[in-house]
Amino acid sequence: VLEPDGFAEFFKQDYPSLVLFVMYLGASRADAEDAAQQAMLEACQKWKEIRTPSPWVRKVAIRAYLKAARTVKRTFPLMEAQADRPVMDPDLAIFHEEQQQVMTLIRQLPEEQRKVTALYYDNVGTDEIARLLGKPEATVRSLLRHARNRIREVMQSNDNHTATGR
Amino acid sequence: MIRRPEQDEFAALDAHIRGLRVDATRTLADQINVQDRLERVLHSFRDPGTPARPEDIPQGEGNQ
Repeated sequence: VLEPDGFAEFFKQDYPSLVLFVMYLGASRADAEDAAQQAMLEACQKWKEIRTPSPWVRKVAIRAYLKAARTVKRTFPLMEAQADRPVMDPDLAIFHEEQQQVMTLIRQLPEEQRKVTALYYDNVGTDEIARLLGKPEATVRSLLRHARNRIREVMQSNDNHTATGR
Repeated sequence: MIRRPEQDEFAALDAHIRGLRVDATRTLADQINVQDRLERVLHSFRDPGTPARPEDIPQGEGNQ
């Protein structure tokens, strides 16, 4: 059985970005790679039916990651990230400091804000996000506004602390 | 195209975070064995029900 035309090229181009997308949701790198691989396998199987593969694999990757995370949570309760107690993931050490800071902020958002924000900064438009998540576009924009206000607030606060030497 | 007020309000933040994300994608791409992951997916696609990862296949099976 030959793989569908164009799939391998899509995989090579999109896989790293898809893994990063799942890491933005809160996954470790290994879990993100597994969720991305599962999404890509489903895309390969349904390749001829998919019109916009990049958003499509993100929707499947969200499902795969959350399913795996909830399964683990039943056995080993995960510590919930809290704004005043940042959880630094060693998997983020390959990124420079500001990238780590932004990823950590996004990972600390409530789940719906996190999904919308991760998709938005992965260049998925608000109309497409609404379609993928089955929400009104106004809700997506509202979630995004809250998320970006929070991110900006913390980044500005950190800048001020740096400027004042605190 | 009509721009929404929040697009202007958050334009600088959006551009900054998107720039960081592009750099982070490049960093991650250098660390991932994309070809290996592609081969795992194609292996599962061609042979559904068989182990997805070559290392999951018991030793010696490939010689039969």
